[in-house]
Amino acid sequence: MSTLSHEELQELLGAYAIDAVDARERTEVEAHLEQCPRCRSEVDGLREVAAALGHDVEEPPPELWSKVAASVARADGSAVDHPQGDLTLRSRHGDEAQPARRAIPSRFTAIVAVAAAVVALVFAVLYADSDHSTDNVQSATPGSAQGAAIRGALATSGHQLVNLKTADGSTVLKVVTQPSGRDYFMASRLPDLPGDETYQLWGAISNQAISLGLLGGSPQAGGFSVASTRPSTFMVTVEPAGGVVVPNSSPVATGQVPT
Amino acid sequence: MTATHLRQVTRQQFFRGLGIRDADRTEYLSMPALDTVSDEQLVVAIARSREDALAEAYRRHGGAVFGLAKRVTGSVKDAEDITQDLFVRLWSEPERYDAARGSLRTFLLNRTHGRAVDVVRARTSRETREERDARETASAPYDLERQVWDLALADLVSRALDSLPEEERRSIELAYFDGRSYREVAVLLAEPEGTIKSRIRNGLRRMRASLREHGVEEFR
Repeated sequence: MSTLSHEELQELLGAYAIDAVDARERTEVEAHLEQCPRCRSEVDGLREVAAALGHDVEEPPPELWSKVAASVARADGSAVDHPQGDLTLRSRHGDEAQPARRAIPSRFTAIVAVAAAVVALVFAVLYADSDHSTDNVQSATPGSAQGAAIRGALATSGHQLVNLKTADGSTVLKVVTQPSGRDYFMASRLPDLPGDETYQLWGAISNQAISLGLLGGSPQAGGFSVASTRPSTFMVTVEPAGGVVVPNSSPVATGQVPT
Repeated sequence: MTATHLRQVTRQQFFRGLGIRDADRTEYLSMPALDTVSDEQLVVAIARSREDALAEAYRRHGGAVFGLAKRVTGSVKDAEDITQDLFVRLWSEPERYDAARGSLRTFLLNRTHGRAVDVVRARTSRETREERDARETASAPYDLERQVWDLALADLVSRALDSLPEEERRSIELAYFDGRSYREVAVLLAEPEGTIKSRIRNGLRRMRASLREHGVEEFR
């Protein structure tokens, strides 16, 4: 039985979310959270912020993974592959599988039917920072100006961040839009495509899919620009290497621009 | 629910999540291309005793876990112990992660923070802030998109923090980064405990609103 009132517990939620309460208070808050969805939801939100606050990625010593793997192996009597090395796709059950390069795209189901509409002529000027001649948006080397440009875009007033998600809810691409029409994308865990295929980025403008550029078979990050009206939705499809004028497959990921 | 139980019940969901028909299951039994699956699916694979899934989770989040543990404890040794313990626990108790309550990274970082605070509070003397600030910063060898995203997020977070009223920012920093309780912060700032509690809660809520305004709905 809690000795604290609901109001007192509520007041503690912030401190609780960042582990600034004592053991007794923690126990009381946790018991309360079990039965109060509203407080639980607030804590979840505050913990999301707390995690963002504590976001300070640093490379762990290389041998640390071996220690984790050894501990796990001790518990299970088996070995674990090194995550930085070649990740062998093997389960403890002994079955093996090759990375199915096409497995992911073919799994997706259509989310947005917008692409079926006939397409107005593509006019997206593609650029990759200093290199305006390139036709391909994929172009960024680690630590390049691209990263700085994206940070700049995120710092621009009026920018919007759009998460393009797959049918299962994974975010595989983020688009940062700017009022100027110079936009950027960052790909995240999109599987590599075979050489004869490419990812293609589209923007839905007035119910038409406008090509914003080819992302290549293993996109990372890059820039593109949209000449006229801002798209309301972004989509990515898998297309033949040269790209297409009208999308001929269902999008593998879509994301609506927040309004 | 035990880990073993979870391993059984999630098997079905695991295949369904991937959109794989029953007939094709055998082919996908070991879920190829782990680097492309969502964190949630990764935890399901860990629950199925997929060691490579644990390795992938470490690849994605090990640097963040280690970085936060080191920042709060100010010690490489403590950070290593916490990181190791955290991933071993993820392996043995994957059911503790509830995707409905937030991203895997949030879950891991909150646990990391809790552990780091325990370590700091157990110490007799605190390291000075200067010692901690002198830590070197290194970049983890992970994907470019992740790096860019992390940079962007760090930017947004630091701006959200800076935009808070000074007293809220200070209260949150003293509690979060130094591992102090709100009572200790109250003593330190010579303010009533209730005031510090409110500042922390209001400040965090304000930051949340600010991050959402910038499109950060989910932290991963």
